[in-house]
Amino acid sequence: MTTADTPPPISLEAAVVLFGPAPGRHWSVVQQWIRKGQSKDAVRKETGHTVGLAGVSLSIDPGEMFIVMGLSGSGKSTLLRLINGLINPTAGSVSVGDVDVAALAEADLLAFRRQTASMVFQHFGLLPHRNVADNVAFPLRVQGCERAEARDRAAAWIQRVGLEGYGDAMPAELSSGMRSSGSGWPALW
Amino acid sequence: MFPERLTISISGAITEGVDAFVTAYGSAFRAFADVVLVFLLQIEQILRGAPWWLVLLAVGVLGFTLTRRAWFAVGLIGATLLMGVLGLWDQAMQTLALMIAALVGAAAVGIPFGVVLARYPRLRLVFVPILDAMQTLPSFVYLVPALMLFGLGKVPALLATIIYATPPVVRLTDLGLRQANAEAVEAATAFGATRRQRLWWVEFPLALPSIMAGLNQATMMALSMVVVASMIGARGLGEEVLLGIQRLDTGRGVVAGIAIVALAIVLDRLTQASMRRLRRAPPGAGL
Repeated sequence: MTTADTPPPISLEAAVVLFGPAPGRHWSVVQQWIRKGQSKDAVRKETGHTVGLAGVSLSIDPGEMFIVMGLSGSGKSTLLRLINGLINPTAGSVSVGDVDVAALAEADLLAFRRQTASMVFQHFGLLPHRNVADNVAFPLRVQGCERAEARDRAAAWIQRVGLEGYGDAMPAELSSGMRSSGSGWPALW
Repeated sequence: MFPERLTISISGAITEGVDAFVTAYGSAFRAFADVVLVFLLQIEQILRGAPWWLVLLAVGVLGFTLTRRAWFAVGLIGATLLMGVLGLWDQAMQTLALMIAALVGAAAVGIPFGVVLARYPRLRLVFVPILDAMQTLPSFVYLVPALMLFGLGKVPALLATIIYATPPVVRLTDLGLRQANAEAVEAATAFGATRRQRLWWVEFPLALPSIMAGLNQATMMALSMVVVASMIGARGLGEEVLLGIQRLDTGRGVVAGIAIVALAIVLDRLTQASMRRLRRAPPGAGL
C-alpha cells in the first residue's frame, strides 16, 4: 500500500477454490458431495479435485485487523492468494473496494498488486539469488523505480530494521529472524 | 530376400529435391555460410595467433577465478600443456576454436528455444520427441544435411556440430526455468512483476546453474563430434585421428586421441566449475 490513507474494504462472496484438472466443470459435482457431508479426502478420491475453499463469505472493514486461523491445509494461504489474484475463484467473487479481483485484466491486475494489495509471505518471499539490499529494492524495481533511487530507499529501511551491514549478504546467509526482517517490503513501499 | 517389387526408391527423388533446393536457394546458404565462416575464422585466428604461454595463462586464470583452488588451475594448465608437448598445439587450437564457436551457436539457438518451451508447455508435446530423436541419432547422420546444403568445409562441420550439441541446452534451459524456486516466482508475481520482469529477474537467474549444465553437456557432445566432423572438413585434432585411421598409423591416432581427452577434461572442468560457482553464489547482478 502506498502509505494508504484508508485501505479499501475486502469482501468474499461464496468464494470457491477447487484444485484439479478441470475445476470449473467439476464444481457442481463436488458441491453435491460436500452437501452429503463427505470429507475433503473422499471428494478428492471421487472427483480427482481438491477443495481449497468451499464457499467462503466474509467482509473485512477498512482498517480492521482480521485474523484467520486454521489447521495446516485448511485453506488460509489459498484465501490470501485469492485476495491478491494469485489464484482465481472457481465460483463466487472476490472484491477489494469496488474492484472485482478475478475480473481484472492483466495490466490492471499488475497495478492492483503493485499499489493496492500487498502480501507478506510465510516463506518470506526472498529471492535466493539476490542479496538483501536487492531483495528489499525488488518490489520498487518491479514498480519501475530507477535502480539508484530504489537502492537509496532500500538502504534507509535496511538501517531502520537493524539489518545494517547485511545489505550484501545473501538470504541463505541470514538467520530466519533476520530473514523475516528482510522480507515483507512490498507492504511498506 | 525381400521381394524387389515391394521396394520403393526414394533416394533419387531426395537427391533431385535437394539439388533443386540448393540451386534455388544456394546463394542464401552461401551468404549465411560466409558469415559463419568469418566468425569461426576470427576465433581461430585469435587462438592460433596467441602465444602458447598466454593461452596457458588464460586457462589457469580462468580456472583459478572460477574455483579459487590453485591446484585446480595447475591441473588445467598441465592438461593444456600436454597437447602442446604432444606436438598438436595448432590442431588443438583449431579444435578449441570449433568448440567455442559450436558452444556459442548452441547457446544462441538452444537457450531462447528452451525459454519458449518453458513458456508454452504444449510445444513440449511436439518438440520433446524431436529432441529425443535428435539425441538418439548417430552423429554421422547430421553430416548428411550439412554436407548437402553447404558442401565440404569448416562451416558444414561447425553447423553439424551445433545441431548435434543443441538438444541438451534446450532441455536443460526448459527444465531449469520450470524448476525455478516456486516461492520466489510466486513472491515476484505477488509484487506485481510482469512476465518479462519475472523471467529476467527471477526465473532466468535461478535457472542459470541448470543452463550451465546444458552448456557443459553441449561441450561434451560437440567434442565427441570432432572426429566425425573432420570427415567433412573440420580441421584439428579430429583430422589427426582420421588420418591415423586412414593410414593405419596407430601412433598418430592414439596421440591425437590423448590430446582430445586432455581438451575434453579442460573444457569439462571449466564448464563444471562455472556451474558450481553459479550454484553457490548466483550472480547478484543487482536490479
